[in-house]
Amino acid sequence: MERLRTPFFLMAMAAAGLIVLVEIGATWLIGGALPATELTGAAGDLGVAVPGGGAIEQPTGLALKYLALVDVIPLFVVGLMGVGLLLPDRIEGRAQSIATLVASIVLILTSIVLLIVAFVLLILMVTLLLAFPFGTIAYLIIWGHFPRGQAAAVLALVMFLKLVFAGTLVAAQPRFIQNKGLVLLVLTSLVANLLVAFLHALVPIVLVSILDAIAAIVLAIIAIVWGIVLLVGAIFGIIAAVRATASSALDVDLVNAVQRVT
Amino acid sequence: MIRLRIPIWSRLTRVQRILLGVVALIVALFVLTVGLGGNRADVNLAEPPAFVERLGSLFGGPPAVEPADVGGDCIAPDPSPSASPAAGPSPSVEPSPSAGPSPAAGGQAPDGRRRVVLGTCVLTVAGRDVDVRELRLTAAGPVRVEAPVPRSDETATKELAAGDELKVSVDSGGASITLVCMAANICAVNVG
Repeated sequence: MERLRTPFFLMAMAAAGLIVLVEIGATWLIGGALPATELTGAAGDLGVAVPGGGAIEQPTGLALKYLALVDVIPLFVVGLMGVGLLLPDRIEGRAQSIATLVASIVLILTSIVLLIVAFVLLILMVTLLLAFPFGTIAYLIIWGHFPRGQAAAVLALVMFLKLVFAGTLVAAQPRFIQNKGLVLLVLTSLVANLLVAFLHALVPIVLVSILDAIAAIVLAIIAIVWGIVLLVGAIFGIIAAVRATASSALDVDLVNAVQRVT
Repeated sequence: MIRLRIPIWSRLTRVQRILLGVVALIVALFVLTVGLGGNRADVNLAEPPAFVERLGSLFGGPPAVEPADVGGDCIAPDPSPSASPAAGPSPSVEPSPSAGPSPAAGGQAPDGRRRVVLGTCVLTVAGRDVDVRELRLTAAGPVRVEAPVPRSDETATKELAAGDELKVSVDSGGASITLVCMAANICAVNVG
């Protein structure tokens, strides 16, 4: 069996970390103010005048940040593998199971809260958009000018980092590609990226914020599903560890008893 | 002749090769999606696309402003409190100082909604813990409505002709809505 090539593995870990950092930091990478005149035409089309001109801030959206909910899982998995290199085998299995249990519970709870946040925001957006014309103007000011180009640039960067992650992981240990769970995780991450890009491109720019919120909801659900998978795996791992400990303790007791008899 | 040899490829199973193909497909679709630049069609927001309408009907529209939440200094005493006992304190309007008193000020139509605007009137809607509510106004004469844009510092104005109906969206912070008669000193608006 080939050895793990540590430099490539460290590169994979770094890429996974960068992916999550870029996604969380997307708030500072995209958005910005638009000239006040941007709203004048749209307001005129609605038969409404906005004397102030409308100070428009481009929305940062939710989906880019919510991608981190999915991409934090590969980071966690390679992090566990990395820690496994440092810990002795006897401790590694138990530590991994307990860490996975805690992390999966945190992931599920966080995803549920963020799912509710995205859902409430989606309801608010749709309600305002349909509350013609004052609500529609409010929607236009707050969410009507999604920075699709900037979001696409961030998504492209994230996609590149994900390919680097996948490539360096395989370069570190080609047998990783035989790990179906890991492959599914990477595929889920790539599909999530594609989904967000597709939903951002699907509708005219005025409506992108609504599909962005829908993408965020889908991402939160994907994260919950993966969180449940991790949770079940961690529970089985802990049960196996407890059984192994109990049986080894029983073995020791039997050996001691036999020694006493003989 | 140089022969390209991919060591991993030969060791992969059929399923793994398919998975690698799927990765390539995802990347190709991503490049295509981003490369095309997205949908640039114009949208008539007065008639939003069907999927937005469907989402709207799924979530339900915003609730109406409670009559008790509509008030302000311009409210005239309700001439017949028993006319709409379920409505509570009725919405009303403030006569402008120059317009002078009128017997019709603060009057109520048989449908329980009508109020008379004299010159300029400011309706105040109290804040509530509801993201968006709607106040329905129906103009009986030409009226200009000035209202704050929900969740924004901006103010928007809309001119109504006789018979036009307007739903003013109000956020949780409440609003001050100014009604100005355009054609004469006296005009009527149905509120609520």
